[in-house]
Amino acid sequence: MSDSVVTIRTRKLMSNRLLARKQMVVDVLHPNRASVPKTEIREKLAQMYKTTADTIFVFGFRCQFGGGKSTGFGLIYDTLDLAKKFEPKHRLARHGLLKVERQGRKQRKERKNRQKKVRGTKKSKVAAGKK
Amino acid sequence: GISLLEVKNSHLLSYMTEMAHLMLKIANGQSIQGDGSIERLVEIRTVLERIRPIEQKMKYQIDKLTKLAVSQGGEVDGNAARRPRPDNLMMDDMGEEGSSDEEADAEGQRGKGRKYVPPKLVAMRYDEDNNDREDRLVERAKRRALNSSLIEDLRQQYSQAPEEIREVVDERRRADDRHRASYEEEMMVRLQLDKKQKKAEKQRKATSTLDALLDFGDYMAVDGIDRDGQPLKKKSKISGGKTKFSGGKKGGKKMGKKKWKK
Repeated sequence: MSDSVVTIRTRKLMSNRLLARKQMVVDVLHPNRASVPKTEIREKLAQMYKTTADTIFVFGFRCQFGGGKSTGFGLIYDTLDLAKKFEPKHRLARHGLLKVERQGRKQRKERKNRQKKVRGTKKSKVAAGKK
Repeated sequence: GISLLEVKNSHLLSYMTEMAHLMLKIANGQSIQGDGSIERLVEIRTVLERIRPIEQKMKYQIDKLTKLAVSQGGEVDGNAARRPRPDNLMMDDMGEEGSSDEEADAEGQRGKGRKYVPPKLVAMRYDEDNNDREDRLVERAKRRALNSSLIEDLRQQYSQAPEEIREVVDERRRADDRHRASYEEEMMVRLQLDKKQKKAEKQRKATSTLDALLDFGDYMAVDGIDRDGQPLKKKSKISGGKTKFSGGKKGGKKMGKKKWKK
């Protein structure tokens, strides 16, 4: 029920030229509503800052006690290429820009246990598949 | 020779002669009223009495000279005798003290350039009379009993002042929360609580109604003491008030990096 209006305010806006982005603290007011999904927040921020939503990354939203207000962080990159260069991989994965290929959980754990039996540089040589 | 002693000698001699003169007069039955000798006697007496404290102060020198004179026999060179002897200053059993003083001196010289930091001490009152442990404990127990909630209730009953209800404010915790929030916004990270802090949070939130019912708030000042009246040992401090950021430099990241395969 998105009848209630969602207000977004930004604080502590700083332009980080070293990483080619603008970083800020994002305050979301959402009375009578559960926390707002990140995609919605990105769209609203895109409207506010007149960019596309794909260069905007938001994270770390925590809802305040009692509800109605959440606080998080937002980054707006100059271009998508720079975003791909500087953003940590898990956030790119959240946007679908990066696909993480990794083996199943069971395989990973087995590999780890096989590695425990070996010392030093031989650990990297332990085969991923079963011996 | 020491001139002071010469003066003393001559004065003593004159004193004796004048006294002898007066004795002779008395022995012959003549009156000594208004005799000139008496005045001279008084003068000599004052001089001798003035010499006495000076001689006291010179006692060391005189003794040394006499010792030297005895050992060497005949006249002694005063200047050589008066040469300073620093070796006499240091005693054998206190040799370590002397060396430690030197060290302290050297250190003081080195530290002169550093900034002076006053010692972090709070002056505590020292009561000479109440030094026994039992007396002190009794005093403390009395003070605690005076502030127990039983007495407080009685006080409230009989006082004319209006009843005050105050909110229980934990200043430290509030300051900690504020500090943490400002750090998070500054560094753009989210900090995690470690196990102890999580436990403390859970404890704080989970207030059981039974505890609240049975809590009379230090009714007779028995909270800090066990049955025999001995104070309880202090338990470890509650970590809820003091927060230790588990973020550190890397800000909330735990363990090592995950291996990402493209």
